[in-house]
Amino acid sequence: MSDRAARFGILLVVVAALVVGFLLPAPPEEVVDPLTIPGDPPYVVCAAALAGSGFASTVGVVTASSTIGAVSGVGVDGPPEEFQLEGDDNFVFEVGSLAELGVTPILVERLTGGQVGAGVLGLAGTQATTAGCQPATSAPVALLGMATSEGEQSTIVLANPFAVEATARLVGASEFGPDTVTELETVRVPANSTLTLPLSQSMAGRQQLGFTVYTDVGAVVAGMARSGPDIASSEAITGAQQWFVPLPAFGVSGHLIVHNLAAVDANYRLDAVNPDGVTEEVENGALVPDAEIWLSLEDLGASGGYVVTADEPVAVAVVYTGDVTRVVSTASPASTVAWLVPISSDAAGLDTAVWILNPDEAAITAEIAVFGGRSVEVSLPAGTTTGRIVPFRGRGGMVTATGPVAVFYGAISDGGAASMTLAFPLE
Amino acid sequence: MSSSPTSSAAPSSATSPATPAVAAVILAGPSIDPAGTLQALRAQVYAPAQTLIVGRADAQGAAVRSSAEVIAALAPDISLVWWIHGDTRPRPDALGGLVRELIRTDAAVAGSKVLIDDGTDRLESVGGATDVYGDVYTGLDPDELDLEQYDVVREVSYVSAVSLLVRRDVLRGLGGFDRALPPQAASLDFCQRVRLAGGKVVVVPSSEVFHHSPCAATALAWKEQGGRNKAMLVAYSLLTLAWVVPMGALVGLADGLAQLALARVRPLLSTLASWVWTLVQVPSVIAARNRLRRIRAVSDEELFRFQVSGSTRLRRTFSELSERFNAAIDENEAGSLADRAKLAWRRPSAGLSIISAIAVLIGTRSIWFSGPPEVGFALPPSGLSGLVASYGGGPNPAGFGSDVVVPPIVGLGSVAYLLLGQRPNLGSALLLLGTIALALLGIARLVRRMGAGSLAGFVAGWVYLGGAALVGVSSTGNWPALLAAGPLPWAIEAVVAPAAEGRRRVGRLASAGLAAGFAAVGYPPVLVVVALSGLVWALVARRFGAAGLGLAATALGSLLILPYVLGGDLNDLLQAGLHPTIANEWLWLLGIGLGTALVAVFSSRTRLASIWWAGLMVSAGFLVSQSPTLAPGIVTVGLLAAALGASVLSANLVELEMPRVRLIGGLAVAVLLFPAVLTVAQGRMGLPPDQWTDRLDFVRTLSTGDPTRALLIGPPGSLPGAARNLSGFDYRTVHGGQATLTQAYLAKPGALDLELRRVIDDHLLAGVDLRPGAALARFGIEWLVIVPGSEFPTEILERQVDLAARPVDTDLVVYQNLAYSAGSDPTQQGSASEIARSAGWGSGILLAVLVAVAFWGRNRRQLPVPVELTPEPVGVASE
Repeated sequence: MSDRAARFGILLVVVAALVVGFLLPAPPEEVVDPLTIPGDPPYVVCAAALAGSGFASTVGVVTASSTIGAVSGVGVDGPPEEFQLEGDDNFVFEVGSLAELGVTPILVERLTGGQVGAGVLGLAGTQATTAGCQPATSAPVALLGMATSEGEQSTIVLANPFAVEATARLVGASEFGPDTVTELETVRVPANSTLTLPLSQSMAGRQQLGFTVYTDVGAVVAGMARSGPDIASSEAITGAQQWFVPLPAFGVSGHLIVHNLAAVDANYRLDAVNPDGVTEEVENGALVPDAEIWLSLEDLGASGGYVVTADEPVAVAVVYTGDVTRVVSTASPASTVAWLVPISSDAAGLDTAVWILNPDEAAITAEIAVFGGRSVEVSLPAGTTTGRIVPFRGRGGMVTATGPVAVFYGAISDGGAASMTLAFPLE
Repeated sequence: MSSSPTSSAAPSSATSPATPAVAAVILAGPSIDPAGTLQALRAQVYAPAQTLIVGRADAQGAAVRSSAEVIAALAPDISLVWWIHGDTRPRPDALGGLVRELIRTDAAVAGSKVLIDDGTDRLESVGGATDVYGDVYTGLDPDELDLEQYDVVREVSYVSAVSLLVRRDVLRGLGGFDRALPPQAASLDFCQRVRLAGGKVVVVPSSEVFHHSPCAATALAWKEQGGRNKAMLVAYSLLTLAWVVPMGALVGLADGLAQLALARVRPLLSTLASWVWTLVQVPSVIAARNRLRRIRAVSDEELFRFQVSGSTRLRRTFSELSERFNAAIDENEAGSLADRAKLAWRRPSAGLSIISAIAVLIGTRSIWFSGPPEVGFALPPSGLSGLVASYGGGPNPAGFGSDVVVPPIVGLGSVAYLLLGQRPNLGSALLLLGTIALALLGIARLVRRMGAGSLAGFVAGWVYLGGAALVGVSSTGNWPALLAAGPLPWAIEAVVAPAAEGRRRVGRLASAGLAAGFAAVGYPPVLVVVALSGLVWALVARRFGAAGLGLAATALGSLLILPYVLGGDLNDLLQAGLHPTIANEWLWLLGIGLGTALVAVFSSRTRLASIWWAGLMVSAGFLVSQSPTLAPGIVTVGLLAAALGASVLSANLVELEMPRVRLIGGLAVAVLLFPAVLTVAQGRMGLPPDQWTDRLDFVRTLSTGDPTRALLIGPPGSLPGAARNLSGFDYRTVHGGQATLTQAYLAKPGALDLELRRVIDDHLLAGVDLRPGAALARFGIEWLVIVPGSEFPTEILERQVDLAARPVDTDLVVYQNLAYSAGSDPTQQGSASEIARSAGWGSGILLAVLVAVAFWGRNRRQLPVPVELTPEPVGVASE
């Protein structure tokens, strides 16, 4: 090799290597599917469970499949109480067996098996209230239908059954507009504990009160309890863009509440569901974030129920006002064909009932099955809310329909007081 | 010029006051026959009036054994005593000269010039001085010839007892020599006492005696040292002793430790033994001090007057270290030790070495202040378990354990840890410092082999160590690969060196194997670079033996890590860690491209081989490092090859001769050196910032029982040591509250590993388990530590009931497993591998053999001068 060739050669080799190396494709970046939290958490928390001071609450757990689970009180020492269900079965748990007094949220775990539904039924004398149990969510939730006007007391319950301290923000709205007192703006809920926030003093004088609960750190399960002429309780409501609102027989008066859970303005529309399945728009409007509107059921004038639609997530609840009852009920964000009914008490003088809204334009039928008991077939005319007294006898049950419906359950006492809570849709 | 004495001169009598009577006292012994000395005495011009033999009966039957007996046996008319060793041959005028000068100078003691009796006129002693610690300073170089350069009568600190003349009254007053002391120490002790008594000690070079063998060569070193200690204890005042004794002990210790760097253990042992012996001598020291006190006429200042400053011992050792240091770079030989020491500091390499040392100190400052960063595989070594895991056949304690042998770096770390008093940070820091020094020196040698000078070696060293390629490796926390980069150039230098013959050839092979082995101990895959270097050099320099030597060195190197070769898993090692990339790639490409163009066009023909070698190494290394699908370990090896090539390329740039081209070459060098500046400024030698020092301490302080197991989850590359990857995050377990080097290397997943993966999948990711702690407790996991920034959905952990958040660290999310109960700490490791254990012994024996052979085959005087090492240029051979 000549001197010149040697010099040229090495230059060529190095330059070629540098160019080729530089042009080689970069290592492919690892494509990672974002990990998301599955939608079927193996637990629910019954936040609005009360014991003592005249309250006797029970938690009912129902399932359609063989399940092993456990029940424990949030902030209560001691091992969880395990239960085993064989399918179409239920388990009833006395809250008072864990705590003799106060709010004692109950954690219901599913150790094995399929979907479970749980609800809490509270009794105070002749009055009854029901509320659903639900898992924690990272999305903001709403607590609706509260009041602190004369003779009314409302309490927010923030249950943190988890091992991590949580921090939440509460943003209130009332008939006065945005309405939050300073001490509620940020609250800490220590791990495995419950924070109860009575509103009667700090926010007295509100007839229409609702809150958005934001969880900044950790997770909480929220609920509310209301007392006064009668008692009511409710779980927190996660935002959705469609809601089905029943109109039970006792629900011709009261208010339908639409609460904006989005960070932007939400436009909503309210359609009345009338017999024969005919729907008509009866109301629309826009809500700024965290704002809510109370709409009079009497003014709206539907006979079967309502469908609320919005372009952003909103929460919808109803305060039914009868002669002696104030029923606070969440609406249903879905209509489906199978529902679990976790009613848990067979106390004397207490009727248990199911309300089924058929928002469709066609009549369908539904079968109400009492676990370990008989079944009842009910026809559901189009555009109606059908109510049935069903003697569940503390055993829970299931509703299956031939078309999508929204199912609610509750109790009616001899005194006329009632409660109504959304049942658990089966997936 | 001296010559051998003759016996032709007739003796004469000397009895008048001007010619005082002298008694000759010959120190003989069982192994010394004084016949030659007696014959020489008979030939003296100034004949002794009396002759006594100490330690052996003379012809007249006189037998004396001590100074006291000598004094007692002296004839009444004797006024001077000539103390002379029985293995000497004094010149005929030796005694005459001593008597004449002793009288003329009014001295108490006069000593002769002592030459070694081997016909070479080598000097043994012309009087001397000491330092304050009693160590003698002759001012002579080894093998220094007598050219009459010291021929002047002068007052000295001491004279050799081989031949000295002393006044009878002085001898009697001082009680003579201390019998317990070896010869050199005895004369020092005696002379010091003479001077403290007010006498003068002079050396008379005109009085020449030929000594059969230097006393220092026959005496035990520790005893000589102990004797000097005793002389010091006898002579000095208590005030002086109060600081001289502790300082002397420290000097001895420091010298002993420094001698270890010269591979000499004996000086340290001698120092220790000498002080033990000195302690034994304390009673006689006290007695001697009492005797001296009665006749003491002057203070310690009289002794200080002839002492040299500082410590002669330390100065000597330091000079030798300096010489070795420069020889390691230059391999030039100077003449005398003194000359070499002086020359060493006048060479450019010395100045550049100082600059390098300063740069290293600056570049490692955070390591000295804060300890080495604990990140990636830069983890603190631990105790014997690491050595067992790597060279004792395992098992590997990392994760849940395995039978697979861990990489040898774990064993090296353990050795450093154990040798340095179980101080892990010091062990890591010194290993890193040693690596840096080795890398700089090794590259300097390598480029020297390829015909470059000191400045080029300096630049090349820093382009190698701080350049973009190696910084790319170290920035991933691959500390073991960084350690391998130290000995790697030494292995390549031995491989590319010109062919040697016989003993040197074997020695070079051993050296190459040793260096390759040490590099492999750091990071086994680098052995490929050794083989590749030899192959490339064989091709470009037409020295095909280099290919064989490279392969042989690779083979020997792999034998030094034989346990890992037999029982380790190279694939795991290659896959571990992050993909390294060249730092500041554009700049690097610019420097390499411009530099190659310059040296290819403008370098002299003699450099073409090294330019080709550098170019091919850079090209191969860069292509490998850019390959998208190769394992991180292979990319690391590629970058090491590229770093070597870039360093040799930069050396050739420095050697460019045309002024304008040198200017542009300097620019290219500056571009290549730029990352080194950043590296030095950073203070961690390219390693990433510390991530794990003391971060897991809470495991030790807050665990329910003994420190338990922690499950670490974080972004890829964020966890200490190797990790397993799952859906955008890494995870691994660490036991005991500290991520150590011993735990760094995870083996292939075993049953427990697979089960843990399933639990993470089912209970943390897919299943939303309300009680994931219960599932983790089965693995002995009490702590869950999340490093923020990964794809791991931490919000899942906000909805469970048995992993309690603990605010123990501001940057980590830590959960304590409430479901954990002490005692559940499963492992899956089995028994140690017998084959690997045996291989460990084999590697150890081979190491010893290679070290011995490397030293045996090392003959630096025969090394060719650098110009002969210049490789044959490519292209010339075929023309």
